[in-house]
Amino acid sequence: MRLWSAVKYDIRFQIRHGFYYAYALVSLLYILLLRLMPAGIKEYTATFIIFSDPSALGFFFIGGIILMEKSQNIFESLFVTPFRAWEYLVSKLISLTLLAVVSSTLIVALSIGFKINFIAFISGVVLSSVFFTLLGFTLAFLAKSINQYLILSVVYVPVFMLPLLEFFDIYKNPIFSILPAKPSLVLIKGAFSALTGIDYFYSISVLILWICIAYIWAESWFRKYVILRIGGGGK
Amino acid sequence: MIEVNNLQFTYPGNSEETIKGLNFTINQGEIFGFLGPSGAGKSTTQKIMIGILKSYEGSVKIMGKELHNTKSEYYEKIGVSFELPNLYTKFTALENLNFFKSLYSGDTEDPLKLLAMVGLEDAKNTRVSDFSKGMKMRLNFCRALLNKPDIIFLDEPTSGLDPVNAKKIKDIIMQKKSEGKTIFLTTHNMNVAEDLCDRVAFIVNGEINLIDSPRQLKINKGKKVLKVEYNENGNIKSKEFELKGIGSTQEFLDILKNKEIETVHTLEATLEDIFIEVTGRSLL
Amino acid sequence: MRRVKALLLGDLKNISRDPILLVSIIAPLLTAIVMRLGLPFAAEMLWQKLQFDLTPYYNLIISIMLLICPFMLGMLAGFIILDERDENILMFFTVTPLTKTGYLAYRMLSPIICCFIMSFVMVYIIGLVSIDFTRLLAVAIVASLEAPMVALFMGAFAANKVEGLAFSKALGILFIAPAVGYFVKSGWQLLAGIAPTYWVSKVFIYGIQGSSLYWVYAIVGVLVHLLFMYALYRKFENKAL
Repeated sequence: MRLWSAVKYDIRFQIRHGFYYAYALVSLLYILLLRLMPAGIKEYTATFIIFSDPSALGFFFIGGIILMEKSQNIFESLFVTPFRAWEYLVSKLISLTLLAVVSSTLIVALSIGFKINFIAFISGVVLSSVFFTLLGFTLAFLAKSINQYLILSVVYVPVFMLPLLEFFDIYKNPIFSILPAKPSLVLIKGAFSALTGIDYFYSISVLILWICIAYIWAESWFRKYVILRIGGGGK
Repeated sequence: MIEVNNLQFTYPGNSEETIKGLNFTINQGEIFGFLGPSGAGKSTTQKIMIGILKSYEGSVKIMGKELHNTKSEYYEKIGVSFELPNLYTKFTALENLNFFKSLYSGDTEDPLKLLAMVGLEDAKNTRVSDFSKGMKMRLNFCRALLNKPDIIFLDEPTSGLDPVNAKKIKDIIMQKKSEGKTIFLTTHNMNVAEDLCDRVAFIVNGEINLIDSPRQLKINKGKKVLKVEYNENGNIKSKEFELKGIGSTQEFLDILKNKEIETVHTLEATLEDIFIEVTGRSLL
Repeated sequence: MRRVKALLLGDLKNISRDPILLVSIIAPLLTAIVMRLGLPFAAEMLWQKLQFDLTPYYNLIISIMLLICPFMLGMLAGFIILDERDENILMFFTVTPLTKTGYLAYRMLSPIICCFIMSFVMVYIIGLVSIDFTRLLAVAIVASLEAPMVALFMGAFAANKVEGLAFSKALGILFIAPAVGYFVKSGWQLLAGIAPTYWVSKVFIYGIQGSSLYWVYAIVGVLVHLLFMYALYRKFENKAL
């Protein structure tokens, strides 16, 4: 199947570019850090780490991937085959989310152990990763260089991250509940604490809603900035 | 095979049309050359024909079907090679071909066979980042043939290649033609067009000025004269003669008989001269 | 010098178009302000909830924060080098009188100066610990050498921007060294000295303690950084453009 093959080659691409080695080291760093933490704040810190790094790695990497494929004219050759834009997007989402899940699971399993609520944990990591990767897509088409991408993201991302203020007990606002970071944190934290059915329903539906919005947004940028520019010349 | 009628296209936000009513047909098994300077509308036309730009006016029928209505199965039947090599640099030649091959659901060519055809079989396990520009171009060319396409779109297929490899690519193109494939070739290179194309179209400012076979063009547009250069007491002299009745032109026969001939040329126009004459524009 | 001046002028004009330099000044300032307000807040929370006293760790935490600025600027400079290599601008500089070495020196210059100044600014804004000027000077010198090292690392090893991203992530592992230096009490901690970050953190912590050992660490730290930079530079030199 076409999508499956694309995912396979995406993973190979990511291994060749050192993503897996990099995250092996990053995970090691976090495992050591969490093992040093006193018991009472271990889970709390783990929630923050998983949310802010492995879950969001798709955002970090997708900018580079898009900018490079753009500069190497890869899109031209891809989209004159039966390969479709949605398959391209979904393949990137699957492959990067896989890395996020592997890294997050390793970090938590080797620092806290296996006695966690895996359903909450994995759904939290997967949905957050899909959302942040899509968010990265929307930004990647606007940036002209990696540096611009990284700097724009400093302006772009914090809005979605505001619920962290509540997580740190600094400031509360009901509006936070409809931002994607809140349900992500609820689910990831749910790995270490009890979640009610309502918690699941709320978090998963809010995240899926955000994913739909981001997907439509990403796909329309993709058409505008990539597909229509194939073959050079013109506009 | 390809029928284009009154094709018009305007980029969104532009007031002027980029393509102003093109008409041409391409038959099966034909190599059709699309020649013109940059900005003439060549790549826009190609983008319409490969189904990227859908909001055109007029009609583009390929294999009897209007392009508007085709979906991704159209891409199973065409092969496209762009001017700039576009490959995954961290993958080997073979990995690149295998990946693109996996995107097609129809019958595909054996990547090893294609690599052998362009002389890259020894480099199959080399990463593209270690390829020279010419090697990348050849691999890029292979990619366009992977899905055994019925219609092949080639953009400057021999640019950046040394003469030996350029010859190899031209031979493959001729072989594809003999297999009945239809080939749409975009180029500025007049020699390539002359060597390969059955017919060429000159495009300038979104309009086609002329379509004809290169040979016919050269005969029609050239001066029908012959120029002889000869050595007379250490000085090079030259003289031109009408081709008509040249066998009974006494002066010409005298020169042939008595002088030391340096060169003899018929003065048919080059395709480049004809292009400039017809369009008033140079090709670059 | 004249050439470097021309490049610098070119860069100044670029700031208006590309806000990298501006951000690299603002980001450390923001980090410092967040630390100044956030650290005591976190300490109080930890004390109330867990009776855990964070204050003894301030010196370690701040020493790690001081590394963030050079890492960030080094990364940005690294990406500029990778971009300029992709666009063949690097090749162009190599064949001008500036030469490749001159180009590198120039690319390293602004991060070094910026990190040097920012080390002072950050320590003064964060407050919370006190360190005298000469000792802070030593910290700033060692810390500012971190930026060119990161940039050179990316230029020497990454083949393209995507690999650059992966490398910049992997370099995060260097942040372990200060913690090892802090928590491992035996002499084995010197093993962490392979990582240049170890020395920056040590100079800062000994500086605060008022230990005169700080200058030994500063000298070794500078040497370690220079050694790394030399090795990376050689690797970069030999790399095809």
